[in-house]
Amino acid sequence: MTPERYQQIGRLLDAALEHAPDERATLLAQACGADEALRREFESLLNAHERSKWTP
Amino acid sequence: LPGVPWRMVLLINGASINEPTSQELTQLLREWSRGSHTAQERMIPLVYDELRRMAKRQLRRQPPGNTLQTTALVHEAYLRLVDTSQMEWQDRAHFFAVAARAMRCLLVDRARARQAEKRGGGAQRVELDEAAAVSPEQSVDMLMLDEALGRLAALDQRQGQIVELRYFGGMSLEETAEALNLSAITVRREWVKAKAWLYRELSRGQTE
Repeated sequence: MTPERYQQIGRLLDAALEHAPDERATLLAQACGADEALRREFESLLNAHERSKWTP
Repeated sequence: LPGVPWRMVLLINGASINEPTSQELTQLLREWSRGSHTAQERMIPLVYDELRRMAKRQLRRQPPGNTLQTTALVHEAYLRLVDTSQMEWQDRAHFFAVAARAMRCLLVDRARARQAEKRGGGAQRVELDEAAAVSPEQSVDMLMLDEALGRLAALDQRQGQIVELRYFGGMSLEETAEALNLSAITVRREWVKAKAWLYRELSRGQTE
């Protein structure tokens, strides 16, 4: 992964976390389009976020 | 700052403060505040040595199990090594940044030494105060974490710094923000992403 790609996924994650879970699919479809690799990376990170303990 | 009572407790308990190191560190912190770029690099070995001595003492007091209370150690090092009466808030943040790096080096060195003793028979796992935050398990393989953190810093240097300060320095979101000259909101947002990324990387390592 490149730093640019990581930033792109990070911005997507920021946006997703500001939306309700049921709005994320729409957001993702708009942001990823046909970029399946981006979608997979995003989903795997979101999944890791949800499994990691929330300790701000 | 809660520094004064703790310092007094340490003195009452007979803990000796390493005066030459303390003076040197206090001087280096001042140089750093005045813009010296080498002050930080010169501070790391000094803090490392003190942390190593303190870690040995802490482990001796405990039953076997190798649980290092890293956050407590870093805070104790601050009180022992820095003349808090002469410090500005920014100096405190600078010290913690150095201590976090030194703590990381210390834990990695310990893990490597353990691994060498065992001739590669399983990586050393270290329990950390904040381990649950980035690892699927309570304990974390320090060498794996160090390596993953290196890759994270290559992708996003700022996230790497935030994890180092939060995880190895035991700094709060607000303290981390102060040390890096960022808003607490930014630090929180970046911390959440860094944690998710590390959690994923460490999960992968464990299932393979």
